[in-house]
Amino acid sequence: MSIVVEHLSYIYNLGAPQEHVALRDVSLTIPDGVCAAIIGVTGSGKSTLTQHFNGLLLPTSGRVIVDGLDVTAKTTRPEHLLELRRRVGLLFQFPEAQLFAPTIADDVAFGPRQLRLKDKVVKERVRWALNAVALPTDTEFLARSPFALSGGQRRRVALAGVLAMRPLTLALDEPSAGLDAEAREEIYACLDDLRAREGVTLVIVSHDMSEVAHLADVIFALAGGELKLSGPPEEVFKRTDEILACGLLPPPLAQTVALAREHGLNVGAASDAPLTPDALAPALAASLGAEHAEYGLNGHRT
Amino acid sequence: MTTQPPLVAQSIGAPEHAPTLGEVALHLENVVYRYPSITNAPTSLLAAKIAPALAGVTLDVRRGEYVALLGHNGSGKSTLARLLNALLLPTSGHVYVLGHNTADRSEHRAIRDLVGMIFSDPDNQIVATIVEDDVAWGLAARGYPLAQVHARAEAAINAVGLSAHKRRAPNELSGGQRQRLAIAGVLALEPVCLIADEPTALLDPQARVEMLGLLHTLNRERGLTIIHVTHLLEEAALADRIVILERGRIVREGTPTEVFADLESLRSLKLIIPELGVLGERLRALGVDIPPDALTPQLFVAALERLEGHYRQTQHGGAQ
Repeated sequence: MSIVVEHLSYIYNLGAPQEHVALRDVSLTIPDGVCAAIIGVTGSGKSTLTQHFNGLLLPTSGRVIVDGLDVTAKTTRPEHLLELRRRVGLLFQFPEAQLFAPTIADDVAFGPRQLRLKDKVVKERVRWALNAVALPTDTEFLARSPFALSGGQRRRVALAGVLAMRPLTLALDEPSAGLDAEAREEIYACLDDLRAREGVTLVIVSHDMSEVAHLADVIFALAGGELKLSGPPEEVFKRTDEILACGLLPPPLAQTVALAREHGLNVGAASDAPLTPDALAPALAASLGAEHAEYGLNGHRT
Repeated sequence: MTTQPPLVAQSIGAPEHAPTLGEVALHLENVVYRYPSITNAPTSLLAAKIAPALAGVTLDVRRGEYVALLGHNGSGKSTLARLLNALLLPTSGHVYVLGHNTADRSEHRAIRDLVGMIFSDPDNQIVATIVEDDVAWGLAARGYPLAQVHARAEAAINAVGLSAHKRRAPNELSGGQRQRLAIAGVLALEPVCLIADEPTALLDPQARVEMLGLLHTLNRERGLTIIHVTHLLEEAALADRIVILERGRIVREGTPTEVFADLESLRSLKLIIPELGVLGERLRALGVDIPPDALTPQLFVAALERLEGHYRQTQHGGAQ
């Protein structure tokens, strides 16, 4: 499901003394089925932008078109917003703080029940959603309290609660913040799976540039409420000066390649490779060891 | 490193010389800590069914040392940090701060002057509405003469680079600046040791690098003992010593080079292996001998340069 943002501006407390322009003339397109990342420092407007994707905020000016549904302050009717929120799921930062029900089943079922779906359908959705986040679906587990789970599991229960609404687009604010390695990998695996199997469009808001480089197809960098940079990670993170001007740092892999180049090392194909260890290692090895290998061969011949 | 790395405002290279370490500042003797009731325990421990948060930790930290305390969520690292300035008292065993036993309540004032602490969220310890008042607060509360309060506060503000902001309100500062303000409040008391519990967790990328730089500067230039609690290997890469906790026990201890030599075993401790660590692994598999402790871009590029020089030399030597 595509998201098109056209000349979007958003002003908090419009007309009041503490008026604050959070977004200024932002235009961008997130195509269907991709994983987009929104990056920027605290206060750059990332969360404000994300909250427009399911109508939690409505544009002060400009518009947001989610899968053909036009969201502007003027055109939006309540039923319109309801449909929008069905299509776009939003997972806030530290979503486990929003768990509230006595059992895991009740917590995940809360959303679908609000849609007045039949009990049988609700149950199916709960099982499907827990399955999608790689948690058990047996009755013993369903009857447990979500508060007795580990941090990573609680976050996945919160994610399941959003997924039970069967959104076509999922926007996640800092999905891995505060999780340990294992829990982080589990969340990433869930997201990869949702994309591959369900074709869910993902929008990730993140501080973690490595995470962004790893997950995203396209990056949008905000600074001071304006869109400063966009493109695939390996292109965006090459523009070091512009990234720094946004208050950000390229991920360590991009920093390393750039620094190596500055130090006069031949980085060869690593310059254009995707920013993953798997892609960079052969490129770096080839550029470093090429002469050496060639020489070794000659050496044997003589 | 000869050239200034261009990517970061305040970059951190390898320590140029081993610091001279002093007497034992912190001494832990078989420390066990059990949270008194389930409701007081961090939620991560609930799942662990009330195993003790610390299960027998013995550790010495010398004056001037920079120790990184690593571990995943719930490994006991924050509990250990809180035992070091008597915020928590051991269930059994002993914690000594420069000879003061934390079990002795009459020593707590002295201990907390010697060991300061900052957390992820600086807002939890900012008490005043003006930067310089906030830094002076701890001194004023202890009844220091006014002239000394001003002088020390001023020096602390300068040390963290906030002198341009001393008349501003803390809420006008950025997250990184507020974290530096929290450090200044601690420094004003002229402690021997600073405990930083995940100090970069809520900071933006550039502020993270600056915070790390500030901690190392305070350590190198003022001899401040640093206990840096973190779950990130790359933040520990420049420490003098790394201590890894798992289930309330020390499971690894040594210099970054020693501890990072076996990244695979750190993975089994649920630590996140930085992407540069993974890149190093892939390169080693391809026969490129990057040391496993090259976990920052600067260290990694330095290693690449050494290798390139080595290859060039081999080629040159062979051509003769």
